[in-house]
Amino acid sequence: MDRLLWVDLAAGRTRKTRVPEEWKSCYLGGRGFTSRVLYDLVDAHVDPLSPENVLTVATGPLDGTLSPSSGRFTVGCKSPLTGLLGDANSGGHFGPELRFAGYDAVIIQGRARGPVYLLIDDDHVELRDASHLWGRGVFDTVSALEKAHGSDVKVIAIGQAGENLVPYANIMAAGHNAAGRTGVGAVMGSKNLKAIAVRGSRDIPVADDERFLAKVRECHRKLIADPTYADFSEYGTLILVDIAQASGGLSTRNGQLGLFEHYEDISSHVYQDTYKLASKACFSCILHCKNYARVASGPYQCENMGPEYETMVTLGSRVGVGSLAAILKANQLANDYGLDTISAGTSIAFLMECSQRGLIDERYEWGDADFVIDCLRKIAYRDGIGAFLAKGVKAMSREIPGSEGFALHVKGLELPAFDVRTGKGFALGEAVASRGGDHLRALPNFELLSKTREEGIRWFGSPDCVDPYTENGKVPMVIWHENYGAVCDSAEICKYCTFATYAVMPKDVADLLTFATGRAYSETDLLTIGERIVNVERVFNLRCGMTPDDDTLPKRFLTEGLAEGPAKDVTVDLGRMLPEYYSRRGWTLDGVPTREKIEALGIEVKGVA
Amino acid sequence: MASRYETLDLLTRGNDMDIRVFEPTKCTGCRNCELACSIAHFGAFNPKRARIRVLRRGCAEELHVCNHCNEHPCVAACRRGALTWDDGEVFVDEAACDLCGDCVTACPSGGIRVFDGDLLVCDLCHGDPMCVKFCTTGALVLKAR
Repeated sequence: MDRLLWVDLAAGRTRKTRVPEEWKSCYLGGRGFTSRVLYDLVDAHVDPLSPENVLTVATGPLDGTLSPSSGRFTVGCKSPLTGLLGDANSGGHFGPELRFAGYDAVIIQGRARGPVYLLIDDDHVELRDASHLWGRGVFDTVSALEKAHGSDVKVIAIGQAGENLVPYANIMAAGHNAAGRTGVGAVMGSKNLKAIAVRGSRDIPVADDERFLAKVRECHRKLIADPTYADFSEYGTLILVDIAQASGGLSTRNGQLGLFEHYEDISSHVYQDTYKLASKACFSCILHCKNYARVASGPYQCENMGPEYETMVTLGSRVGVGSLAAILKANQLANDYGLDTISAGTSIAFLMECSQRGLIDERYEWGDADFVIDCLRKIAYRDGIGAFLAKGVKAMSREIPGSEGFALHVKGLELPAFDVRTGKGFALGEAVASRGGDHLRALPNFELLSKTREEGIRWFGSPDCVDPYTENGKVPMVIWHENYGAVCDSAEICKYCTFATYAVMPKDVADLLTFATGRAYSETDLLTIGERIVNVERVFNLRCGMTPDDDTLPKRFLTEGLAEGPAKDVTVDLGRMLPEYYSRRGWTLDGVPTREKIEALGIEVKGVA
Repeated sequence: MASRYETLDLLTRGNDMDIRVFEPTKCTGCRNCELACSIAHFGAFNPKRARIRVLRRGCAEELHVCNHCNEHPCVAACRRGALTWDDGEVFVDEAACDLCGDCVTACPSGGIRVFDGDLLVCDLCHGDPMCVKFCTTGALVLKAR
């Protein structure tokens, strides 16, 4: 705890420093730290795959404690996929272990001469030769490191995709938890860093243990009492497949449709009845939304954690695949290669639609599960068609005239499963998210949960904000979620316990942090920290060359209504939300944070309006 | 001592007549039991100090803890008389223990460990185990003996 581990791969040296007080008080940890490092240490113009990029792995101040669902970590760097701020957040058990070893964050600079892995055993830190691991998949790599250093080490690693610099490669924790967006795995690969293995045995004390435990218990009770707890703890995120189909937004055939004809074959109930073996939890989580499943026989035989809802859509309905066994197999392979299933699936879906529309000569059929599975390997090795798919949707569409309108990305990051025509708060959130086309920056589930109009007024001052299909009243709701989301990502507490359920609220997190750290936090303090992080990220992106024109969505969602279902004929009108969003953020009409705003948030002024 | 937390509003309340039972299919591997154990006995979170441990092997969660079993080979293995069996429970005399580890080897459950100068043997929190209090899935429950 309380230390930063600096790793200079070029020199093969490591050093330890105290975490600056200002980082803790103003940025909490996790994503706050990774974004702060980018803001301070990374020249906006560096090539993301050059040694000058900095890769930061950061834990939060609740990691390692009993605080509910608080065992996450964030990896940050400049993204090779978007050329903007990149980060990815993961659960599992790695974050707490790093903190038990005594480190709040690891900051990795330079490039090793050959493949290495970083071994952290409490105070003992060592870079070791990883030649024998290079070329191997994630599962193999994790097993080899557990065999070498004991089964109690916790490992994050890249697969072949990261080694081969696929710009949407993941860093995988224990083989099934993915730090899975913006290509953080490629940056790790560019540094010749195959893995980090950590074991920690230090105490994590809390300032007021009695009140801390009482607060934990209160949060547990609220979570269990929440109406969404039953489904979430039973089905995990797969319940969203059913919800998406019901709302007409189950992204099908690259978002041409919102209802999937094979929905019945990939529903959460089929998964539950046919393949699921057990529910699993990340560290300190009582929600246990992860699923462990097995396909016992046949061509898609496999056994692994997952998949999650995102993968069920992006390697399922979005590419037209209605075989659940095939999706499970594809998920396992993507995890082993270390590929972002959202970006990979969406790239394949894009290629299929280009084929459907005759924009390319080759024929690729919707629903061809074996083709999808084969593509994953080819992407990871940049082999044949995989070399093209590995560019990502934005770069692919540049090479295929007439395809821009259905290239499902924002700022170069492929869009997640949710069809934003069926949730206008999500639409705004994904248009402005600091890591590109991402739902988790805002995640305004409030509009999807059938809240009453009275609740809408009470929470966000608008009766309309509870209606997913309208733009009205969405801006204050999205801003609150973005700010609180940044807090969750920085405290490293899971958003599914803070606002998929709305059980653990900012006041609760403030209490948990206060009792854990002895530093007094109020709800207002936390939301200001969240706002500070959002602004720091915005400024970094502007330095990288992002313009307000990039705060948009694929033309498909702005102009093409869905053909059927509850969202029939609905399109997104960003013009009704963006000016108000900029204004309420205290940004100029061009979406640039003003000097007054930056100074009021106590951010060192670099390159603002 | 676990009694520090007895004023907390917690879900379960055991008594000396109860025994802890593990139902492996209900365990999700969250490790809250390890955390509750370490803070109850050491005042800090540290799974390495926990007297109860859950290890994930593929899909299975393996529990390693002293079950206070009727065979208690640990007691016979101890050459210094530091372990005794009384009224259905294993007790440790810390002053007599030299951390030789013979009991660790003898335990069939992998339920005893030595860490940082301590012999880690479950004491059932004197009848009101913290691990059970913080197990929300029902994998650890108390049942009447």
